[in-house]
Amino acid sequence: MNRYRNDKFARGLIYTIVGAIIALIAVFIGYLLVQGWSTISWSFLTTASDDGLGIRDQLFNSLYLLILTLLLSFPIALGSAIALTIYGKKSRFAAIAEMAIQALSSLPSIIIGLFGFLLLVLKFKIGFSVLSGAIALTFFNLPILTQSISLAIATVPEARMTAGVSLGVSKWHTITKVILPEAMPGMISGIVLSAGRVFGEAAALIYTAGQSAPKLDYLNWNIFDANSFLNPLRPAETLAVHIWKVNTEGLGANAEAISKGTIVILILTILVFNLLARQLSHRLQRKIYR
Amino acid sequence: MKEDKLFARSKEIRQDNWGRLLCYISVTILLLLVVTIVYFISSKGLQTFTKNHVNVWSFLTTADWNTSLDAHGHADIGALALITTSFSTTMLAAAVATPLAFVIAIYVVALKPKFGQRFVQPVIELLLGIPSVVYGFIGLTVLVPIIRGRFGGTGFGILAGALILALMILPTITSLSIESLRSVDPSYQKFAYTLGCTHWQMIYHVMLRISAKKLMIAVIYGIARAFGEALAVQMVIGNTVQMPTSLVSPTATLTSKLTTDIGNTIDGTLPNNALWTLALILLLISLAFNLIVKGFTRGGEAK
Amino acid sequence: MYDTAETYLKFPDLPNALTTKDLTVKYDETLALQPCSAIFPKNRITALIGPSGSGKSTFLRCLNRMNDEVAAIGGQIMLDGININDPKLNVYQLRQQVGMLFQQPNPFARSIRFNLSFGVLEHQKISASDLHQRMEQVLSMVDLWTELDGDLERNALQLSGGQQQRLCLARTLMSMPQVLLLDEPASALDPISTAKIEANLLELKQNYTIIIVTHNLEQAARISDYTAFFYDGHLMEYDATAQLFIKPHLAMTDDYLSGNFG
Repeated sequence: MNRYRNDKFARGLIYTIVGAIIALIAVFIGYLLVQGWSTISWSFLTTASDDGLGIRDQLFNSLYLLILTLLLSFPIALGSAIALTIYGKKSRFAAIAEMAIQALSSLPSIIIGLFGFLLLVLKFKIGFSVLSGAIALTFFNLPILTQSISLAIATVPEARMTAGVSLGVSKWHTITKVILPEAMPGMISGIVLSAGRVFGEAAALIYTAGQSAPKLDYLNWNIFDANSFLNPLRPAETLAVHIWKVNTEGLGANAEAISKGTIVILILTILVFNLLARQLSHRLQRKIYR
Repeated sequence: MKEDKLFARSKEIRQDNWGRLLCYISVTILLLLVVTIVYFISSKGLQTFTKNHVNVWSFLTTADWNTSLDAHGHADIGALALITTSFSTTMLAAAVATPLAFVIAIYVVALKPKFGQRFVQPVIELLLGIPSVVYGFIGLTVLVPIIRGRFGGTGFGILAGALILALMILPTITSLSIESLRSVDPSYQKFAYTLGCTHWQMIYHVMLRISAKKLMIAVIYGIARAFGEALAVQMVIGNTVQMPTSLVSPTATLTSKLTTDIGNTIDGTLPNNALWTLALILLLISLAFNLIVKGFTRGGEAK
Repeated sequence: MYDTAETYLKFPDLPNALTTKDLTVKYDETLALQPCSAIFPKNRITALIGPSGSGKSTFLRCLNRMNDEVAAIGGQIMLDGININDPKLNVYQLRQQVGMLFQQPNPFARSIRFNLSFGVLEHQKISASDLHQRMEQVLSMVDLWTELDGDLERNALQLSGGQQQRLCLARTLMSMPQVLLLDEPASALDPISTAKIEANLLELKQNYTIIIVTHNLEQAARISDYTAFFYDGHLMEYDATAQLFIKPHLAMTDDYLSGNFG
């Protein structure tokens, strides 16, 4: 019975390969976490890199850029998603726009970064800054976020719109008061997942937000001061850029320790984002269909 | 009845007009963005040919990145080495990652769906979210020394780049493959079993055949991601522009060259313009991948 | 095929709520509804019957302008002497006057309170006590108030299909419309739920004009006062229900009623 032997062999082979890959991944992630764990300390997180190993400012820059990026990209992505899935549904315009969004999402992030450099740093002369970085990240994030919000909206049955409209309610209020709340779980998990991607992005930032992290003063709330933590026009190296930078400039022995510690912070943050996306969407789902 | 009320303008009309307007403005911003990106990069990238009078053909077919001008003000600048390295690194990465990705996908969908969905898939999703610099770092600190010890030389080169890219696109191809295998109608599977197929026969003759096109798309997505990856590759490829002579000789890709040099050249000069031409090539190839996927999807629908 | 040239339309001599004059519907280049003139008497139930694709649902959806975005509508629809097929008409106001119920129950995935109050709160200022009173009133009209023990906080999706449909009916009643349009409202329901809806409709016709599209001929015979028979985009026959079901004028209607086609 040849085919039974084949079946057994094929399955055995698959189990072995999958086992090996999972083991490899476990070693890979375990290695990163174990190696970096020793670097992490309170002072690693709270001192500036000028004073030694610390990543305080890079950590803050990453979060600051993330928040600005989400603030910039969410409204545009939401509006586009509504236009594509509801107002322009099945229209030729929506089909073209969808193609453009797909093309945009397929562009390498280095291209987005270079375009940001060209437009923001060279043309508008904003310089290597938080603002340039946030706008470049918005360019990077927009297509992904639009697609995930569109998907979330598409899961809401069309009957809701018919119901709202047949009651004489405007489409707009049916969207904002019925459809969007119902699409919320999907939208939130889309936003959180895209936040993870934005948080770890480096290629779009090295020529927009820059590769230096000036020492910040967290008590200076005057956004026009060069050392104010809120100043949007200062350069802002993020965690991911920091890892790249210290490794390509060959800072010697410290580079590895810094990178490993930073990587642990990055991976843990992204892990939290992933878990959060799952939890939030589950919880909200239960709340709505309770 | 209230005729005036039936013909009055009401707040609903206003709401819908404003809502529609806001949404269409958003899409317009997105469209403008796409157009501007293509326009800016093209106009910059074409200057090498229009302003610096570099021959398009020789730019694409010679391998020397020689940005100095000769006595007649001409330059011998060619991107062939970069293009070759980009393609060979990417293809090698895909060749390594694809079979593994398919195996994991088969495992998750057809062999151990419960364990796969609870445990394997979240791990793959986590890998998908790990930033590329982390992969680059692993390549630099773990992979490159291993290759150096095993094959001699510096350890930098196509092999290191391809293996790191393979690790990076493994989760991409895997998660898309899982999706496409899942989309196979379960009734086909049941039908195969009632015909007396073994598990493996069902997987091989039914599942893989039916989802072949979608699996192909998954692979192309992986290739596109690998092709556009900049930092991870730049950290392990060696960054020397020369035709790759072996898998372990230092070389450079389109993306790594761009990453390394765009900040070190002066805007408007030939060395800088030539880099923008690389960006343009990269842009066009990415769009081409996009078109290929589109072609495949359309072909799938027609069938 | 039947000859569509000869029609038999016998409209009653009663006060009417809604009339159409040469109403046409055009999808792209095809005329889905041939010029159609009909009269719908006040406080009566009129059933629209006919085979699938005969144009009856299309006709119904025009009456509160739900076809605007997908088709070109020609002709006149008169509601209380006003042509509501006027492009300048405020359709949002119209839809509060002419309510609609669909084939599949389509409640919002929220509480019963939200379902009932959403439309009203969008359109008018109303005190909490008035609102509550009106909710109790409409839920009583569809026999849901006692069934739910007055619990307005339950999620509408937890109700049975029949209860959902009656909730949707109550929802359209919240804006106090004059006319109710029902598009096969019971076709997705079991016989018991169907009977409940039918009982509700017979009660409601004292205060509302009801137009119902149905595939269920027994249902049309049970509840309607007048029946309109559509075929291939034409209104072929219109008569009192008793008359039309017992002794139809056209051979085509007779064939349809005896199940020879459709």
